[in-house]
Amino acid sequence: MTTAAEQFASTLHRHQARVYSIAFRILGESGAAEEVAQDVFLELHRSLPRLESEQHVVAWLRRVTCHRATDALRRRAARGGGATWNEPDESAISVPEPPAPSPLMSRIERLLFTLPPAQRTVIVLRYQEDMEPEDIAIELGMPLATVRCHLQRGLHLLRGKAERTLKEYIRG
Amino acid sequence: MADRHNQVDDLERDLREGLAARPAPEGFAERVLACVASRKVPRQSRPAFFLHWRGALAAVLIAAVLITAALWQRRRQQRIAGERARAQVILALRITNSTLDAILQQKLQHPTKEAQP
Repeated sequence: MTTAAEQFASTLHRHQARVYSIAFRILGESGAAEEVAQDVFLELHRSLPRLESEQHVVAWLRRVTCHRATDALRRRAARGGGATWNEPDESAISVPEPPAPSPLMSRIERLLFTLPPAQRTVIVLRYQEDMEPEDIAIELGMPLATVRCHLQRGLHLLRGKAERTLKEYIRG
Repeated sequence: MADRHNQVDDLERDLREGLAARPAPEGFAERVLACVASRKVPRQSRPAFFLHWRGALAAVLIAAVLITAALWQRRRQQRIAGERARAQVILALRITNSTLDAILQQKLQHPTKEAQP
């Protein structure tokens, strides 16, 4: 028989990498990602008794992390004075800190950070979390057509950038 | 067309490999657990908070009962005073009535005294 505290600690250790990765890849900044991930787990601590299964916990963590990270992006944009997102030049994006465990991950993340936030979020859920577009639509509360559109546009943009740099990098 | 499809497949494969979960920062879980533990302190003080409010609620209820009792007592005293005044008025009217009756009887017994010029 595990106590609520033990159950929370076990859930935290099991899902910390997932939550931190989603937040980091949406925000592109380690400090902000850690802050969001911490908030998400503190909220989970309050909500855990209501979550019935492991599947429910995972879905809850993904949804809350995406929403919190998107809110943090909006706040950052508001502070920066820019209401719209401008595509940064890939070469202008610094290597993500802390360094990625593999060169491929580092390269993919740099490419990812050049995408608009909505496309980035959908691509992270699709390829990091291996979710189907239908599930992404449900979790983000978006129409399925919008999710598919973000995926297609995001992949199109990434393909364009990858054609220029990724293959040479991987093969080189 | 097939070449483009292969490019997308390659890209998707790279995305799946490249977007494996990153490890959380060193000591992240410990920091969250410490934060949860520190947040429990105000929760533990919740009973005291509720006791404080219970005391305030009890005081308000007692004050309400005392005020109601005082108002009821005041109305009772006013009613008693009103009944006394009413009884006194009735008594005064009876006395006046009997006095007038006595005067009328006297006048009826000696009608000529007043009729004389």
